[in-house]
Amino acid sequence: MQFKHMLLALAALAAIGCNKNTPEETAGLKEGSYVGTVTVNSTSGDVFDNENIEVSFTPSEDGKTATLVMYQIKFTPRMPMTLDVTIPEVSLSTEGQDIKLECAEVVPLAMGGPFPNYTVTDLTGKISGDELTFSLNFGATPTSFSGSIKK
Amino acid sequence: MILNAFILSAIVLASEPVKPAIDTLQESHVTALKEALPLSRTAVSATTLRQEVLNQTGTYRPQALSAQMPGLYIPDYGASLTSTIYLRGLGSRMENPVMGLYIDGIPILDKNTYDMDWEALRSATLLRGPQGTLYGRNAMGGVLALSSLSPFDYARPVVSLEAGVAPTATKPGLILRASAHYTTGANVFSLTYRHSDGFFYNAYKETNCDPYDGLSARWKWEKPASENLFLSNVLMLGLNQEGGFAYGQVADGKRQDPAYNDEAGYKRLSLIDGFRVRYRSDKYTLDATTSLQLLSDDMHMDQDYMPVSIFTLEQRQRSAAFTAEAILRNIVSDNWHPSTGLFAFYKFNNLFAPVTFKRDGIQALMLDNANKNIPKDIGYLEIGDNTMPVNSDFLIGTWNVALFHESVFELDKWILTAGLRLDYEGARMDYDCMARLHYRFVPTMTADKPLDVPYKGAVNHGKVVLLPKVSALYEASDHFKFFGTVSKGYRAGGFNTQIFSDILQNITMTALMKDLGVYLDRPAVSVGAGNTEYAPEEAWNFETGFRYHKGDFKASAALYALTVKNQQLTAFPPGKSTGRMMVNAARSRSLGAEAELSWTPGNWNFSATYSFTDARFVSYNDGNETYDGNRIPYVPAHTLHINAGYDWKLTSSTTLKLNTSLQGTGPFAWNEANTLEEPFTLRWNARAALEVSRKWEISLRGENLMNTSSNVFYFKSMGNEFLAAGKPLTLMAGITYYLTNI
Repeated sequence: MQFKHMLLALAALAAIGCNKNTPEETAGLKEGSYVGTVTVNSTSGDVFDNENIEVSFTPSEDGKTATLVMYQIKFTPRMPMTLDVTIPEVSLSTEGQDIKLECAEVVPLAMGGPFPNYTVTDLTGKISGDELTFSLNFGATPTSFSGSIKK
Repeated sequence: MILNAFILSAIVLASEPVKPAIDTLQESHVTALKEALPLSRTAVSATTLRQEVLNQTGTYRPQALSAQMPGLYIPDYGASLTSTIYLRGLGSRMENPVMGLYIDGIPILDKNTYDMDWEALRSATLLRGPQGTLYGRNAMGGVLALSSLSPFDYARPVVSLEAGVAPTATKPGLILRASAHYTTGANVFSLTYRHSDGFFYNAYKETNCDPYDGLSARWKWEKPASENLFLSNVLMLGLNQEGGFAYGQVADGKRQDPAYNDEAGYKRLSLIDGFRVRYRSDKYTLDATTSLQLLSDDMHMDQDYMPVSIFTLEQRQRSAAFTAEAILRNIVSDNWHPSTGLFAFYKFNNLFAPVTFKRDGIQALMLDNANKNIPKDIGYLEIGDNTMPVNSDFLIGTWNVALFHESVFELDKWILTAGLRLDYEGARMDYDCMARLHYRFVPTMTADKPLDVPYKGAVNHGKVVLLPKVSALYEASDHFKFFGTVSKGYRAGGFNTQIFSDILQNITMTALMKDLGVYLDRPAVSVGAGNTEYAPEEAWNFETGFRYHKGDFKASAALYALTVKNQQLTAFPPGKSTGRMMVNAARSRSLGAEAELSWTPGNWNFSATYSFTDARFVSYNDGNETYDGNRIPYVPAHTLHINAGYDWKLTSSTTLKLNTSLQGTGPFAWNEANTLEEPFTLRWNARAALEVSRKWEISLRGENLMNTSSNVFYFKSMGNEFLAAGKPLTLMAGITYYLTNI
């Protein structure tokens, strides 16, 4: 029960943490999928690229937030598996023609539930035309994505 | 002591009550064989056991024919659906048989019904070598033709009862066999009931594995409707309920007692009706045969065969088949005997084969495999169910149509035969499978999540084969004949339904991980439904032999060479797999020799049969290893049967009939690598019967009198090895009563 309460608290914190700016201009955004490279800077100093990774972008109905799902990524080359990781409640705002993405801290979802070991912090990024780029920390692991819309 | 004196064996020509009639095209009625001329004038290796011999040797089931007919091995293990048959180096433990079975001319399509109790048989004839031209599918190793008593045999009504025990069994129980047949008018009725408390002890359940109760009945009706028209109908019913699967795990190279915890047994209801018409005119003879074959059975198996809750299998079949055949024999001249035939069948089978993974199996086969690939700091997978059903429902339709012709020419001392069969067989399997479970990933999931994994689809195949045959027989004298034959046979292909438990297990784990958003780098090792099809097996046979018959002495011998393409073999996928599958070995060959003799001087009778088989892979790689040159598993290198009998007339109305035999098979290689072998073993059987006033017969019969310990079968499940033991010493006492005088 204690563990369950802790997860619920983390989820609530995540929801509060990211949802700050809500410009009306982001209403009506469409969802899309982007394919590109995830670069993981491991704590040992190694840089590891995940090629051809798909990331889906799904805005909420009011356009205030979005959910990012990174499909089949690895955090180290030694990982014997890949994971789908969902980052919820990413704040959206506009900057000129671009859509800004921001999230100070949120617990991602993976393997069927919240995954606090890889809590996302300092997520920043943008959608510019057909390009999506963002960077974040998965726990202590700096990670970035750069990709183009999937055709 | 008296029995010990008779170590040589006998095939006693039936003296009464039935006149033997084994040749084809009898004047009065239709027969089980399709050959245009009597077997004595046909270029084929054949063995016939008549009613009295079948009775003397206790041959009431197909397994008892092993070695009595050279090169034939039908191990007695498993349950009644098993019917594994090896003949001339050909055979496999599952799916289509290598030997066609005909009962009164009706082709028995389902191997699950091969093992039935025989009663009121007039004869059993085995034609060895491919008989594809006349008999088609599955007659690749040969054809066993059983001929039941006809009303025109005027057999005396009889009732008999035989009861006994296997005294050396761990838990000896009652063995009983009761039978009767009765002829009235155009009808012959026969009935057999067999009971056994079992031979093999389940050390875990502390009871015998293999009790048996079975009832079989036959009604045969034959009548000439006119001078030209002869009608025949035979209806066979079989009903049995039994245990079985007495498989003991191999530990330190030795077979242990069977010890498993889950249900194992088999129930079967079969109904076969065959209707035959023969029309004869001055210009031709037309034989038409149709049959309807219904089967309903249900098998339960503790498939890990251990006292752990890993997984169980049920296999329930509801099948119906219809066959039709017409053979036209034109009467052209005394020297030319052409036969042209058309054959077709359709079989529908609804096979329900759920596998239930139990707690130990879920842990060992699924969770351990998955979790070893997941880093511990991420978490682990848990399945909350104590049992996980994997349901597999198959609808399998099989159809076959064939056109064949064979011409026999009699040219002075030569009899030449040439024939060809065009045979098409197709099949379609619709599969509808579903695995259902509740899982949780710890620590990310706080509650179990239900997951249904459906797997549906259909696969089909079809194949045309040409089955030619040429042969020549030279009648050197009235007594001595030589023959040579070249012929081709095939065994039908099919679908591996038994591998679906492996397929579903892997698909379920893949679906579960996908549902979790986890993808293991190592792909699951498994086949898909598309890979479950296996191809027909085809064999060419080159054979030569001779036959000698003078007075009361008969001898025959044959040499053969078989080349086999796509030999069907049972394979076990590597690792802790749960299924087994039929695979097509690239090429193999079988070389062999067979010999028979019988001699019936006065009241004595002697007979002996022997076969040598050298069956080897020419080219076979199972994906991991190459087995070129190795012996083909399960094939006995030698079969030997020696029989001797003496009818001792004590008084004018009392005869003591003594009979004894030795039955030997082996050595066997149990695996493709030939690293496990079973030596040649001999079993000693004997019978003594006192016939009184030609109305009563009191008998004592013993099987495996030396209580020879041997293994008759080997297999692997989940990487563990198992052996099935041969039946122990069995002693039977019987009484037979003929209801009427001669």
